[in-house]
Amino acid sequence: STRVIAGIKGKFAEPTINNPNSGFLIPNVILPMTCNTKYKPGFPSDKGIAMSNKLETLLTDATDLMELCLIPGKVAWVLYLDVVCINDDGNVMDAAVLALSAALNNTWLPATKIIEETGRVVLDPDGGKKRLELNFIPISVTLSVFDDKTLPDPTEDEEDIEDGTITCCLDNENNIRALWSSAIITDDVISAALVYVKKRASVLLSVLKKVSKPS
Amino acid sequence: SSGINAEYGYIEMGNTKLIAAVYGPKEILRREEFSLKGKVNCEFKFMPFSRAHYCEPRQNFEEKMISKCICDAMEGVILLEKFPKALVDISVQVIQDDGSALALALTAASVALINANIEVKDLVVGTTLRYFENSDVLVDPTAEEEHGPFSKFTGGAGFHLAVLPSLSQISYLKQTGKIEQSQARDCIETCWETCLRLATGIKNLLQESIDSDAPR
Repeated sequence: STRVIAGIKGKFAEPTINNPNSGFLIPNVILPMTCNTKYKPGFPSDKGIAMSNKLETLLTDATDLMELCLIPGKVAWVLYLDVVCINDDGNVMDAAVLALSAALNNTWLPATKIIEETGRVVLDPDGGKKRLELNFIPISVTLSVFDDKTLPDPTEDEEDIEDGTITCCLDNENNIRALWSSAIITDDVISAALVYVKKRASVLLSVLKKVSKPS
Repeated sequence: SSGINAEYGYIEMGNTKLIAAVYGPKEILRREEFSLKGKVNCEFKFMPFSRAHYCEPRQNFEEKMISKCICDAMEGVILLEKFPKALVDISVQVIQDDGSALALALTAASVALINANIEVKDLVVGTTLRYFENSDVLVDPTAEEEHGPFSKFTGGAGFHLAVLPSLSQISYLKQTGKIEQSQARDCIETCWETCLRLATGIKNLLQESIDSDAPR
């Protein structure tokens, strides 16, 4: 019964000096007090920050950031990828990645035009929309580790007593995009886990494809 | 899930959707002065994607103000003497804002409190009203109608009213803008009637949910 909502908002911003031709993707996971009695009021929670960092590494090559640049060195799209957890019953990571992937897959950027006189970028209402091109669709599968056994998709109670976590992110072509392990385990455990991850990822991917809108 | 009392109220009105969660009463962990009355803490937040513009993850001034409003309104309704030294946490998250968020937040929080079996004097039902100089009145306006500086909906006055239907009392009232006294009274009456209608609906829903949860 873990529930999350992912939403994407776009704004204009100035690119950094180091990357003048790049836009930005800023993931942020919010775990407010609403979702679980363990969280205290007031942002941000450590777990949320940790997850946001993981998402950032996961999404580094997710889309061509140069496509997000509108005027090199001056204006680029910054996409805020926000995931809010409404109920935390364990394994927020998988839910967050799935929701975010679905949202990214359904993102349409409005066309923009540059005003000649001022050089500013504004939205072009007649320009139509362009779909955000994703290089890959990330899917996350998490397992809890107990001694040398693994338990997929832990609930909150299981997370409380686990020895560690293995999170593996595959993409839609079954490449491994990210792998985190916080448990002391052997090679065999990881190999066995990866077999399960592959199966589970294809199930989640089909769910994602079902909610994908063609236009 | 761990023996702590937690309950929710979810409201959708038009395109405005929000969820209120109530935790408690729980022990106040800090060693503060002994208080014969319980305390209420409220946190109101727009989700970053809930409004037309991006909302920062940190609470801004408007959200802090609305948090305080909800807190005040709930303090008036909860029987705080029943749980001294304890704290009730209310958290309201707006999933999508299409107007009237404060009024809905009050209603949702009150429903969550009732679900959580926290003793309250009455249900709280909130509503918003926009009044225009040409005597047009809009009840429960959409976001464009409520705030719209760029739309035709400027001028006039806005009312936020929260009512305790069974006790026929006003729990919260806020008026902004400019309006004549006689018209103000009419506006408040219209709000009141709307609240009473909503209250019957909400009470029926609560009754249904209690009936369905009752042991057979």
